[in-house]
Amino acid sequence: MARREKTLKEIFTNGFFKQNPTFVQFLGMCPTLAVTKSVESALGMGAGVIFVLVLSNIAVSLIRNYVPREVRIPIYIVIIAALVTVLEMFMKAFVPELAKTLGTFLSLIVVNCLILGRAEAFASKNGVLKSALDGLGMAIGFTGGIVLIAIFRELLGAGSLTIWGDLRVDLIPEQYQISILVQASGAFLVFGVLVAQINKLIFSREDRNEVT
Amino acid sequence: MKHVKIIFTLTLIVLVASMMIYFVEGFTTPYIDAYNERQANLAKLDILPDYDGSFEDVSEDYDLENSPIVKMELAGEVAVFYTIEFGGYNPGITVLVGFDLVSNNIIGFRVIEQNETAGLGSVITEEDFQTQFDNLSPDDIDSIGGTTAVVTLGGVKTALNSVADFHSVEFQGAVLETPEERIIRLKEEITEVDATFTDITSDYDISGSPISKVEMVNNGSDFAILYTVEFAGYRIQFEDETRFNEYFVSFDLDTHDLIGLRVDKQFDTAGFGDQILDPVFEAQFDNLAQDAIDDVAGVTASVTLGGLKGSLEDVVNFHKSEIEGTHVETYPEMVERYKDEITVVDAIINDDSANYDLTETMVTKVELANDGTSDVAVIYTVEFVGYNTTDVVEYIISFDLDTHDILGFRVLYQNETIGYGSLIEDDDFYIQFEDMPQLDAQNGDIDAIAGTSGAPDTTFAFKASLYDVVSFHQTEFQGMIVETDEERQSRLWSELFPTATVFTKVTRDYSAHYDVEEFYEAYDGATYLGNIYHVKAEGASYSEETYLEFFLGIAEDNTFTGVKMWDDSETDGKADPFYLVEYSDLYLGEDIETDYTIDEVAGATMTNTALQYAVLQISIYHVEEYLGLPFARPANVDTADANLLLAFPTAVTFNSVYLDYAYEANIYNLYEALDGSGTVIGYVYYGYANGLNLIEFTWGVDLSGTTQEIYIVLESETWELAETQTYTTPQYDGTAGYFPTTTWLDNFEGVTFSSLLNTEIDDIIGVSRTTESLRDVLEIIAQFHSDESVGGAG
Repeated sequence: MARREKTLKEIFTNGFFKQNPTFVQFLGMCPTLAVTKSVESALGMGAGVIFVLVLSNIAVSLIRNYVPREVRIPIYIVIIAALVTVLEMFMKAFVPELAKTLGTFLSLIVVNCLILGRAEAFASKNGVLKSALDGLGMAIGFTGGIVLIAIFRELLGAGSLTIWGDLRVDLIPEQYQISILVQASGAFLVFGVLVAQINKLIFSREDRNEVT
Repeated sequence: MKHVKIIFTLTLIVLVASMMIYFVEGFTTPYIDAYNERQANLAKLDILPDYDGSFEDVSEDYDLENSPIVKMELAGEVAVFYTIEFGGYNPGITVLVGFDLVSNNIIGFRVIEQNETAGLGSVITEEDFQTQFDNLSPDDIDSIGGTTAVVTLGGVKTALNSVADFHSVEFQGAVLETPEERIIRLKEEITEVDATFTDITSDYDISGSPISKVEMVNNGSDFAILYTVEFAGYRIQFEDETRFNEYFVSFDLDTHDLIGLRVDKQFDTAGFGDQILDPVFEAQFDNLAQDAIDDVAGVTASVTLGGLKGSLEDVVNFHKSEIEGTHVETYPEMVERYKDEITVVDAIINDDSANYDLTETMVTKVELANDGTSDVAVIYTVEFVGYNTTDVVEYIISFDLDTHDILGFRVLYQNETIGYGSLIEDDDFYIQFEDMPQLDAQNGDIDAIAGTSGAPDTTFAFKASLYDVVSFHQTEFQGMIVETDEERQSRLWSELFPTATVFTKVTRDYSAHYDVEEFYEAYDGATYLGNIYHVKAEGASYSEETYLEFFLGIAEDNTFTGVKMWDDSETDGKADPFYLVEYSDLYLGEDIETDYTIDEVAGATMTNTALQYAVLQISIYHVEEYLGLPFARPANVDTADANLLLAFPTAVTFNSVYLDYAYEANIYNLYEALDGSGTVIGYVYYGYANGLNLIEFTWGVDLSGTTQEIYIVLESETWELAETQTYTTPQYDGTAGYFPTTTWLDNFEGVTFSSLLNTEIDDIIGVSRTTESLRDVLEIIAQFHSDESVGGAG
């Protein structure tokens, strides 16, 4: 039986929950743990990934028929690296404070497995529109994932939510904050708990589907 | 064809990517520059708040090549700002520093970028540090303080001094010395102004010496020799293999003493190694005698100082042999001379070590000295560890083969504290060994090294080694038969009770003590003299269970007659000095029930503590079990109510009841804990343990025998060693004094005494001495609580 072709909507929403890069595919763990101290940096990183992933998917999809198989990975890397460099320059020029916050992790988008993963797994086999949608959907899913972690870490760990710059609310007084959550170990804790909860949701839904 | 396609595609992609980056860079650079400019300007305006003009980049107009300055901007005629880059503990400190163009003082210092250690070097970013530079005269740069991070601070000072020099040249018209002028000045400072220097290096073979140049100094006549010397400091040994430090040193051709020394180049750590540039340090070399080089001090960087001194000693030897024409003695020659000095002139030395078993002795070599006709003396080479536990002292000592007395003593190698233990190689110390009676050496009847102010540890260890050598000599050359165990025991016992004729074993007549193997009553005929306890108690090793086995004599009048060590398993001969008669004699006549202090010997503090603890336990046993009397306990030691409250938070008042119960050495005091209505709700123990240092604690227990809190009142343990250990949670968070808060102590809170005695609580590797001793004492208390039925506990 031939596999049913996915609809554009399915491709776009695939990364939101079913194939969420953060909680299901575990892709791009390094930034997931490193930049989720505040919602602001998570959003910034997310925006960067959206930019790079959409463009790299489009670029890879465009040249997919002309790239010799043997050198496809180096070529994808060159494309991604060029895009990240461009992104870095734009961020340094227009949002320099955020670029400082993201620091090295900005350059490290190059080696975010999510980007290369989608280039290889999807964009190199699909058309431009689908690839763009896949890139956008996956990047939104990734952004959603890290923002969710950041919400928990910043709110419970530092008592605040920083959306952007001065757009910040302090909600929990200092004595009730769980400061370990904003430390590196806290990232693992929050991540672990969220993965467990999300998998519970997914599995119980699958169980129900099987029963019915 | 396929390869062509691969190459073509790759090239094309790279080209397109490069083009894209190129255009984006062109587009974004002005914005990025503007941002950086804004940031830099913010710092400048922070320093110069009232200035409303522009900043003019004048970097191109100056030669910044050999300075740390990377950018130079003028704020009109008001000020000049230097952006400088230099290294501290880590590379990459960028600082903006402003100079007033009128006063030429520093008007501000702002760190733009740094990567120094948080809390140490990073202090340079703090306001308190930076305000020091507000209106600071360049002459005062060296007085800057405010951080203990000497390396970072040194980096800041060096860079700023260099900027200040640059500034004075460019804006104040100062003329700085050229490197050539500086060299001439330095040379003249240690010879004579306007002297002429003639290179005579080619006349000598300088290979193998640190000397790179030899110059004859003339002021009408040749009066001095100047050496240019390269030496390895810290940088060259650990970082950069090309950066030799360099100095000039001059010698008077008449006296052959040093005239002076000037450091020309140094690449060592700012704030540490660069102390050799300090004029006060250099002044020590003025008119310094050749043999006084070792006394030079004042540089904390031991590697740099050691490198300088070592090279200078080589230079002195070179000077002696090449200029003075004296022969410089080599090490083998020195050893040969020493051997002659302590035997006979021109002795023929034969190594006879192979004929002896040297495994159980400190002797490493046995040599016979022959005067041409017969063997007249034996020379032992001996090694022992003194105060410096990381190195050995090596000496030779000779015995006359006729009288068997000592002929002489010389040190071959030592690395003890200069001025203290090092005086073991002093001629004054040597003299006493000429024809010293063998018995004096055996009994350690010698002068202390470094006199009364002395080096007690090195002295004691040295005495122990002498005892060992004499014993070896007696066995091997005097045919003295080594004592059998019985003979030795009998000798030790007679030392404890010289007049005793009969010893009666009475161990079985009394209840046993864990540490007592056997004990005996000593009689002179029918007269009771006292007891001898054969004790085997726990030793003091960190890493393993060790023991100390000894005989303790207690006379009828309850005074000690001595402590005679029998055997031990302490590390590295740590217990050796305790075998000496003079250690035993420290106890002689001390009342066993009153406080007495026995000083440690040879730095073996912990062995001494362990030994004294065992002696105290036996003293208590002697009084309470043997004599059936209460042990004259020391007065109760009180502690503040606050310390008790922390051990029993629900109590209100405390009341000492210790005198109602037996004495236990580890318990200072025992309190009832009472609530508001005056009802007894529990007890608090105030006790101590001998960890690495003294640990004092309070520990509450309620009427059901359930422990409350344990509070550490006093400690100075080196808990850092627990850093790598995890028990239930990490045991060390990097702060000093962490021990009182360790979760390991939770083991002793909220548990019953009986469960505590039935549970094995692990100690923590790395701090086992601390945890083991505290745990043992807490178990003793739990046992005490039950044995003594404190508050009816059973």
